[in-house]
Amino acid sequence: MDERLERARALLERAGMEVEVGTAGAEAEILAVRTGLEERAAVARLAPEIRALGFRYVTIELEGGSP
Amino acid sequence: MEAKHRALSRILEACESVCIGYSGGVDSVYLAKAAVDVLGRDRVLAVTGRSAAYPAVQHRIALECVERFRIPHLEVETHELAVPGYTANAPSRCYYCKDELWSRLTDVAATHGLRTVVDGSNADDAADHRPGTQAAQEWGVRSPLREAGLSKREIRLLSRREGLPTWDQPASPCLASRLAYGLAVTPERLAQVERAEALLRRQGLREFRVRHHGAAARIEVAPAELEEVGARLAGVVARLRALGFRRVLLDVEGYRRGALNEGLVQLARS
Repeated sequence: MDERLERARALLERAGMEVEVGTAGAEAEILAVRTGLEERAAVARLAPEIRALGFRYVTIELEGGSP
Repeated sequence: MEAKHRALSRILEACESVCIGYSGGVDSVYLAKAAVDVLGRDRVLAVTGRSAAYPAVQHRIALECVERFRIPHLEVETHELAVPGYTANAPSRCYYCKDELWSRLTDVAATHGLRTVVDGSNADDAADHRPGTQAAQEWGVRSPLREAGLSKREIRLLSRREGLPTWDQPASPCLASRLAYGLAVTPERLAQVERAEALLRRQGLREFRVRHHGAAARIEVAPAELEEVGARLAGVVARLRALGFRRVLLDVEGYRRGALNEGLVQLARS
């Protein structure tokens, strides 16, 4: 696993979130956190630290349903 | 602010007659109305450059305003999508777009006997990454609002006083601004973004962007609207995927004007 990803996952875990993480974008510049939208504010509070790991954007990956 | 308003009138008078780069945004609508008030309709022409990058929603507002305030108006096709420097979508993209636009408007001004080509740049624009400004300078385009020292906030206040419906309109830059740098600008990607944003607009979101990162759409929503975003996005993800985005992401920090420019330092170093 990308070292940045592992560090980001650890950051989120220390904040009490057990989540899956991945990257997106041509340069893997986006951290995609697989969690519910109710965690948005909590993830946002960690965004500066996550960006310091080398990610440009911190996001929650939205799961689809039927249209 | 009143002194700046008077300065704007003096600047417009010095321009004698103007051909305005008119997008229908807050700045260009205010500029066009001010120009008509100061110079009269026979010395003003608002010109809209149209291409696949020009949002349809912006076009509707542009037309509504020229009709309501009887602003002389013309539309021209611009062909920045035929310019490799534009479609490559480097941080210099706007230079090529504005170079094409001012080339067309300079021709229009000459044809109509208008002395000065002007744009709606304002005093706040100097703080942002704006390669289009270089193109404007090369074509001798003046920026009356900026020269008068008017900020965006002041332009909104003056617009409200004038009864312009655009006074509180969110910023609406061209659709190419949604594409991550390095991702080639194509009509298909521009249409994807436009349809995606139309979807979100119908969900009641007002200030947001859909950023195109190739396979992924990254949604930025204004902080004031983030609390309700869960309800607004319900049922939308599958429809966004149907537009061709394999992944749909919500930026946890919300809409930030010029967010794609946050990566420019890294790009410059790479």
